[in-house]
Amino acid sequence: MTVRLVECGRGDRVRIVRIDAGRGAALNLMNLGLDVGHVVELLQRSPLRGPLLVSHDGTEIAIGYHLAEKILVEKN
Amino acid sequence: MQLVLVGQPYSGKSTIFNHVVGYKSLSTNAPGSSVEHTHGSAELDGERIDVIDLPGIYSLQASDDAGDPAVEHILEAPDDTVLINVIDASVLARSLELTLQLTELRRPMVVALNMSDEVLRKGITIDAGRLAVRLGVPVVETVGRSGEGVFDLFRAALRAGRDRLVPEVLPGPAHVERLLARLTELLGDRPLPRGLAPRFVAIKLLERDECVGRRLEPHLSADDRAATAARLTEFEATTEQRAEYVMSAVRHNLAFELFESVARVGTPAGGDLGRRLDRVLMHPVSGFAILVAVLTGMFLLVFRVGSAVEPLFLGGFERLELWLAGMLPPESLGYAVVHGVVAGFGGGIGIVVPYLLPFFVALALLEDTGYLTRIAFLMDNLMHRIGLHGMSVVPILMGYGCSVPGVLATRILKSRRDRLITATLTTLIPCSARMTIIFGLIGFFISMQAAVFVYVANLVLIGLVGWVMSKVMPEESPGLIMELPRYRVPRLKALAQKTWFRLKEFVVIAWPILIAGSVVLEVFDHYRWSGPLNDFLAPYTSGLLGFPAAVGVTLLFGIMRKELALVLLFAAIGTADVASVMSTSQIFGYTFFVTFYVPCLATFAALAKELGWRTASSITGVTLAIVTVLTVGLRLVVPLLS
Ligand SMILES: Nc1nc2c(ncn2[C@@H]2O[C@H](COP(=O)(O)OP(=O)(O)OP(=O)(O)O)[C@@H](O)[C@H]2O)c(=O)[nH]1
Repeated sequence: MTVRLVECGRGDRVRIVRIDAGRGAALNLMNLGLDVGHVVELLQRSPLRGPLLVSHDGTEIAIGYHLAEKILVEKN
Repeated sequence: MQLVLVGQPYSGKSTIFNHVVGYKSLSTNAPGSSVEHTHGSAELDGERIDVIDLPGIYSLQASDDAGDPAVEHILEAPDDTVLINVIDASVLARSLELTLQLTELRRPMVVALNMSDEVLRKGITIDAGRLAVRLGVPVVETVGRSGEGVFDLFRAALRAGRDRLVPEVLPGPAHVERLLARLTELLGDRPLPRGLAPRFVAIKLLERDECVGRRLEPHLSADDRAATAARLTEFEATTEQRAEYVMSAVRHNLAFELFESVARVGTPAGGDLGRRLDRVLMHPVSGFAILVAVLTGMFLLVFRVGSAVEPLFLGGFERLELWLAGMLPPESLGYAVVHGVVAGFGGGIGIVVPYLLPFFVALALLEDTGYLTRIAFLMDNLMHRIGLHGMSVVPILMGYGCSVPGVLATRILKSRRDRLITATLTTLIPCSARMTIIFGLIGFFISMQAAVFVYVANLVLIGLVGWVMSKVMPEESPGLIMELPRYRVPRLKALAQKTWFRLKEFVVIAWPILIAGSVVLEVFDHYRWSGPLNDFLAPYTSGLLGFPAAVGVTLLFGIMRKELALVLLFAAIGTADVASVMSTSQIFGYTFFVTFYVPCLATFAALAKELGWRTASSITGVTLAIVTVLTVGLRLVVPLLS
């Protein structure tokens, strides 16, 4: 099932299927290993459209809400 | 020979740099600690080496068209440069992506597998010899913190430079290599910008990299560009994906394959403590509660320490002043000047040591444990409401100590707009000098609650100013993407060095201005120019703001040294019992005004240094206007309340 990253809950492990962000943001995400096909774990969400905290490959990465809206993931 | 440290953020470049050339580069567990590159030189085995520490970069691929200063630096490095690629070996797979890009530059290079201690702890084993064979350059295991392996690393770098050990290039899949070959062929024997390898240029063409593109401009004809574009379109027709993303994926796979061939992942010793900590510290409820507790605790501690120590210092200077009065005729110009110097000097020590020092120690602790970045995360949402993002919290927080380092800290922000808004807000934060006014006047003559209220009202004001500024200067923010550093136990030496580094900004910029200001004031007083000045300012100070006319001069000199306004006030109204001369609403209004009307001269200098004179002047004008309006508002409202 494909959903936006912001729709996932704490502790979900999801696979990135698409990134709808612009070139700059997409490259920034890729540089941190957030690329299509990769699995990330959602560690924390903040209320009121605050940033999300995900972990990938032992690194913790904060992602702003609006950017996270553009990341489509698959839950399994 | 020039050695350039290149690596991803938090990889430990600055730590290694400092180990070799002495403390020059701010090594911290927060992003962007090295914002500009830092030069240093050292002697190694009798040879002089120049070392450069560049800001951390994740990739050579520019994510915005403005380009990255670190990348530019690498591209323009002279021919005798050796790249030292510092890697956080505990996240080897990801780090190798930058390494692979660096190999394309075909320059002498060595790789530092830093954080080898963490690697052990995580139960990973890395075959450094095998990695060296695959990359074709020396690979040295290091622990930046203890310095283990660091000198071996630099020796290897010297050797790489001497023997011109240029890395191997790992080829990608056939279809990408074909495209690269065609692009290289197209470049033919056109002269390329100095030092750039043809294959590297081909990759940059493929990635549509603006930064290298600009450099190529004079070397390529319109036909060349059209031909390049045609090949890319043709390529993308088969891959159905933008070429730069294809390249990124290729590199990712190569890095992963390389990682698998040299590393074995076992079971980590001990659980993932950081993860568990974050579950509590970053939690929307408990995280905020802890944040508030940590910050409140920090301020209380700094205030306690400061107010306990302050009298000791000030007492000493008072005695010195008395002694001076005995030595020089008090009416002479000479006395005025010397007294000014002593008072300015003492004012500096009276603030720096008691308040600033503990404040910077506390801040360095927050930084080095890795908590500061978590604060940025927690505050991100709030900061978005005023058009900024989480990282702006850092300069603002620092501003509570002293505005000068606070304003200088805005450098960590990428866009000029963010720097401008954040710097403006930082000047509105009550620094430790202004804290002494708030507590000395409102806290003493009205009530402690009223003093605390000023701090709360100040936060509201900052919110409003930020909100308005972000409406005036709207900007599509690319959104937050930030790696959080691991939690670490801070090292005493690093803490001390960092604290001194920050303190130096106060000592070098603010202190001389304090002393000069103090002298000007004394001379002014010596010639008794206060009266005419007060008369001149009266329409504004007493007419509009409603203060006693005598305070005019204190406002003018408060610009030089904020905390001076308090001392001057006692002199101007002829008594230390302010309440006998000024009403509650006057005391409140005066304190509020003095605290926020304009940045002090030293802060102004810092603003001018970071943003230019004109912007610094506009910021000053804007704050003066806002605070005038608010003070007049207070004057009208407060009597209605009481
Ligand atoms: N455990 C461990 N920690 C290290 C090592 N080297 C550096 N550190 C710590 O890692 C953190 C980041 O180090 P820096 O030297 O500031 O990293 P940097 O790469 O210069 O970071 P930026 O300047 O932000 O790009 C600091 O808290 C160091 O104390 C190491 O070998 N082992």
